[in-house]
Amino acid sequence: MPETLHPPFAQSLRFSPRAVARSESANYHQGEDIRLHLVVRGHEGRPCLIVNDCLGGQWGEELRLPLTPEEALSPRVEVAFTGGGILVQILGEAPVAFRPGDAPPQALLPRHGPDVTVGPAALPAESGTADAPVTGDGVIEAAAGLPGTGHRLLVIRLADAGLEAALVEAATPMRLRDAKGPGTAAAASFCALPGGGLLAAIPSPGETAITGAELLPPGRPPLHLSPARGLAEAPRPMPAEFVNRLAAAQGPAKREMERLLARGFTGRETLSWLSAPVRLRVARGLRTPEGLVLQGWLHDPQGAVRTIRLRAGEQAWPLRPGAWLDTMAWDGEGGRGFLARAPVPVRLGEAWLDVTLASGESGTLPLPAPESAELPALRAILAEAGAIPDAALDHAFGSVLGQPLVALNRQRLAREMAVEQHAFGSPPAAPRASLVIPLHGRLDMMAAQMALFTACRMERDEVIFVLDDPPRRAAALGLAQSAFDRFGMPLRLILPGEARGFGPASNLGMRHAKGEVVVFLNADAFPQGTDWLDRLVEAVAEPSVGAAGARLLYPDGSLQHGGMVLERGPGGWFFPEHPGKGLRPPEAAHGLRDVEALTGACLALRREVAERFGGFDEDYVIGDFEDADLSARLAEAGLRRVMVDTATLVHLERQSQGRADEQAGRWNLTLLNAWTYNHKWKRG
Amino acid sequence: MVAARHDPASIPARLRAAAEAAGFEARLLCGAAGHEPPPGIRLFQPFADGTFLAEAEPGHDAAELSQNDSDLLRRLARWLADWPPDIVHLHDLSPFGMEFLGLLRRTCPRARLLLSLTPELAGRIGILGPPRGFLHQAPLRRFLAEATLLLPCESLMAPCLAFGLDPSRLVLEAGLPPEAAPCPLPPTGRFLVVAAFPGDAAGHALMAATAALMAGCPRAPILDIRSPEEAAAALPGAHLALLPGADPEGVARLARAMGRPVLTAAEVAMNPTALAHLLLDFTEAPERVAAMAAALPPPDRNAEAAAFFARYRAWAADPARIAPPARI
Repeated sequence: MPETLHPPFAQSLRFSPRAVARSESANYHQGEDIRLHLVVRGHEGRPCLIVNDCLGGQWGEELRLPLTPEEALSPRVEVAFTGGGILVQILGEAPVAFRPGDAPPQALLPRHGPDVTVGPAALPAESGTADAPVTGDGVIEAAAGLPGTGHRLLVIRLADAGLEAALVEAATPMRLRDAKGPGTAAAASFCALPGGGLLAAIPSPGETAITGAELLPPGRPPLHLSPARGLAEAPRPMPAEFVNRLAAAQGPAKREMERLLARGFTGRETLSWLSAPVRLRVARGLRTPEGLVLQGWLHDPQGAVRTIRLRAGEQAWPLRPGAWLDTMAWDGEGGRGFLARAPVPVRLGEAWLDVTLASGESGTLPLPAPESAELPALRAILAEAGAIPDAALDHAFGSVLGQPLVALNRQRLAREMAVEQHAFGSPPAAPRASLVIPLHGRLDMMAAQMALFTACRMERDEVIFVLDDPPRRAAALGLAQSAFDRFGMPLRLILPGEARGFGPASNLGMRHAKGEVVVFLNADAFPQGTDWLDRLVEAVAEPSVGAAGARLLYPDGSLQHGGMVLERGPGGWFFPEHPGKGLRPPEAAHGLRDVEALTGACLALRREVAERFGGFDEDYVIGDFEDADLSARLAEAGLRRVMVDTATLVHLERQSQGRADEQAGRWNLTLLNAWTYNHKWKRG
Repeated sequence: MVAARHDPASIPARLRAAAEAAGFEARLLCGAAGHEPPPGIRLFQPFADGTFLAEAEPGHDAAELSQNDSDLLRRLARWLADWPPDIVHLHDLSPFGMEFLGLLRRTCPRARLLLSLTPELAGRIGILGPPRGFLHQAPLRRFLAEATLLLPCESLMAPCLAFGLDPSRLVLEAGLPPEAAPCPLPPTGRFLVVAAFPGDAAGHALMAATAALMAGCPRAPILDIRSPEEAAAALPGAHLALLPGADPEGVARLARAMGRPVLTAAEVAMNPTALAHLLLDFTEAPERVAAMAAALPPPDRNAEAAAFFARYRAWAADPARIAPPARI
């Protein structure tokens, strides 16, 4: 039976290593009613400590404190119930005053999850914010930056009540101290708080924790202030809390402080304070090495907005006009979708949007927690872009989406990744050719492919499947074993730790290949002639040939691929096209036939060439254009790209990708890759 | 070796005996089909020395013609290695799946593989009837390409070619099925004539006109019009078999083997009136039909077997039968 606790008290809570995944919580009850709720869980892709209270009988606004990956492993939180409010502190960070001024109930019953360990807290809870004892010349009860204004706000209490009254009347120099030492003195303004104490505003940009201050009243010795209740650093409440405190404050500086709070970022949305009906909603923020990509909706029926800027501290970057793309999405309430990019990788917790009207008024909007830089987030952004008009493609990808999404993809691929390899049967030690086949979405084609390979005299060749779909690991292992058992042909299965797309999966297979020739093959390409591989191997034996491709047919016998050409498409960009696609195939050329480009669905290269060129360029996301790019690089090096018309396969084009890839955004992914190709080869 | 679908208890021992009489050492391999092996046993011999039953894991879907039971495939591979056959004649694919053809090709590369392609099996593969998907058909086509397919009727030839099978591996072999034996005529109260024809317009018109002429007669015979594939099932209940046109499907041979007189209308240039008269005469005098049926000689199984085994020999000597397929 948990013990009833009576404020003031403090507890240290240690959550289990899997707390975030399990959304573990700790609650403090008054009777059967929850009064304080803490939970560690993911929020918009990031682990957070989320705190909410029901002190007044109604749930308030959630306080979300992002957790670093290290903190998320085993979150440690200290909670102090004081006479004047609640302090919450993630271990190692400054305490946050939560609902200062709202006294907690006199008796609380802790009800924590079974894996939450409770211990003694270092956070003192002897007294509340309102009646913190004054030690020395005075104490700092709270201090926090007011982003966007270059000011900090403080709550201080002096030993000399007469001096407090004098300071309200005139600005007085003050010098703040942080871990680096004392800063520059600046004129601070003061308002009197009911019950004693002062609310101070001082020009002082930055977000570092305040460890002390010197008050320099003219004609008097300096007064040394230290954090209240013996803390090393002054508690740092959300700026919004100062809004509440200022409402009850008095003094000539109150108007100036109100203007400061209206201009600065208080952590809350202040767009509703604007005179024009502007509604801005940011649904998603993606932090990439090439900047921040935001997706949301803007409702501005009067056209009142002049600029929208991303701000972080004292810096600002214009989004609109500039790096802003209106999309065809509507939020159902009149808001039009947008995508925007700030070219700096700011931390979302420290940045906000600053909306300025033509009238000069400005308001702020906090940003959501960033999404993890993973493929689903990239896909979601592209899906939200909807149908982009041809005329807007250059702007959409050149100014907004291209660089950050490619950079995000690079960042994703740069991570270390575990790779397993399984062999079924005994592949040849020194194979003639290595077939590299990425698997994604549809695994059922593996068995059909292996069945057909058995007719192709491939005893000297090796087959390497690369599972670019880790959730299907167990199924792939079972199918590979079954294919070997049923058809008696050895194969290898490479199991990377994450899905990375066609190019990276093919390159991974290439790095495991031992054959003199590497054949990149789609999982939905099936031999029709039994000598297709012999013919491709013969073709690439010619030193002038960089790559050879096979004739690919649809199951009805019509042509799918007989070589590619680059033709102008949407936006004037070049896209690879398959001449004669869907028509009856022309008579096969007897020898090698030179073409501009070859598809990656079936592409043979000498391994030496494949390795020299590094396989496919991995900047192309998921799969598209990497074959045209490799063809362009071979051409640049003076190597031929040839079709071997007499090597024939059936290609169920794009069916190997499975249904997941049919979702919205697939075309925009193609456009992203088209932009990358055209940007790289300056063909747009 | 013969791999068969039929219940081995009823498979005539004469098949093996005939093979051995023709100079072949024969083994018979069947799906277990309800016969339970001892625990842990997959290949077993409950009947005779040369007859083996194979039990696939429960859940094996014979309709898919794919054998996922890798343990059974391993045991079959060992079994084949122990006694590598020269000729394997698969009378059905469903108990073993297409993988068995691949296994045979790997373990017995010199063996001639024969597969009897019945219309029912052709339908499951997708050669007849609605087409199956590429992923179903392509592996089957690949393994069928290893075998010589014995077609029981000519009408299967065109669909096989359209399916992409090598014409040099398609052989029309309208052998009598094992169950084709003389059986008693049905009672005469309801005179039934099975008319089997390949659907030609002239034959169809003749049948329709004949039926119309007989429609008003009180004891008119029933004309049961069937496709060649359906004729075998209908013949035991019929008194006569009527072929309006030519018979490339072996229906006449089958009918005679079952003791049914055969009328071939095209050969005597019958018009509807003459045919109607003839059929009514037979109805009025069923003893004439019985006499004709009794006069039919029983099928000469030995001669048939000898002819078939002669073809085995010819195929065994033909290296083209084991040439790797060029297209799959």
